[in-house]
Amino acid sequence: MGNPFSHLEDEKLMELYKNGENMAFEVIYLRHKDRVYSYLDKRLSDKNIIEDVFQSIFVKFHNTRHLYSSEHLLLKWIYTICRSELLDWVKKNKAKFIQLSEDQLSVEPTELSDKIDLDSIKTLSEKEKQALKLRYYSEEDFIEISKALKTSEANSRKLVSRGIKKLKAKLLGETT
Amino acid sequence: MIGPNDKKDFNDFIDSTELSPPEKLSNRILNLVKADLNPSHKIVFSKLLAIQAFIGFLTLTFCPQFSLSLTNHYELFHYFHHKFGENICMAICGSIFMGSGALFATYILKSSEIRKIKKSRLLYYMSLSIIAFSTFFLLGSNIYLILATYWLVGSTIGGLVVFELNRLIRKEVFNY
Repeated sequence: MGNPFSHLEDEKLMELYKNGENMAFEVIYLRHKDRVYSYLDKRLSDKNIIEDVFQSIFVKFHNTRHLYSSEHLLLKWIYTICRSELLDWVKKNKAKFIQLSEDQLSVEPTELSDKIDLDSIKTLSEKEKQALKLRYYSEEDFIEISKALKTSEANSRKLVSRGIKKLKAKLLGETT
Repeated sequence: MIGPNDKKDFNDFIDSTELSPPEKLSNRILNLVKADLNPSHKIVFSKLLAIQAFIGFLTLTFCPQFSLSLTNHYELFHYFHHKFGENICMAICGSIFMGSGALFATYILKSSEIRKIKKSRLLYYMSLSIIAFSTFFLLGSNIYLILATYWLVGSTIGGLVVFELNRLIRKEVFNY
């Protein structure tokens, strides 16, 4: 049996959830869990830690649900909790915070290109190298990347994400 | 909610959807929230009973019930007795006893527990009144049928009114 609230938008779901409707939470969770998990995966290296922080984010989301106001986008609310929990964890554990995604890679693309020679990384496929170059050296958006690589937008996102992951693994392997 | 420096990070958050959390982790979070949003009647009633027992016991310092007092201060009892007569006095004493507990319970309990009580509030407060009355009986109070009936009616209605009033205040004013 499908969830009767699956067609509703986030903010409406949040109102139902605040009034104790568990199925509304289920829709919100299923809609955003991948986003939160992938975001953490790009920034933390240990799978157990990612899972711990992921759980703490949704526990905090649940415990602070009454503070949410529908004037704000739910996505921003989740992002705020996500970031604050991630930073709390980093502060508590004085951990090495790995951030190899958009920010770091796109802030100083030339510096990065001096440091990392994507062509020399054997674990990256040709398409992944091209996707990374287009994304971070040429600063193209995913629509442009998908056109250049003659693939779907979703697939181009996957190529970039997989590429970052391999790059992260490679860099961690070298530094630790 | 999001500063300009976080904009890139937020965009990355939006774009990150390629990985999913393990099913076990998702089930754990969904079950945790479900259990919290739908607490069992047994747990809710136990908590309410504990709060009622503690607060009700404290009210015996200034408002004796069935001649049972902690401090032998009968001023309030005598005031009601002289002002409204014996029967109404018993109803007021019952409502003070149960209303004080209800007042604290509405702010101490979780919102999901408050919702649970709300759905069967008459049953909850009738049961609490009968338990309280039985306890006074077992402690050796002087109980007469007519007075006991007034006390039971007063405590049930008092509990219900204070609970409902403060539930609304909590929701509308304190927004939780």
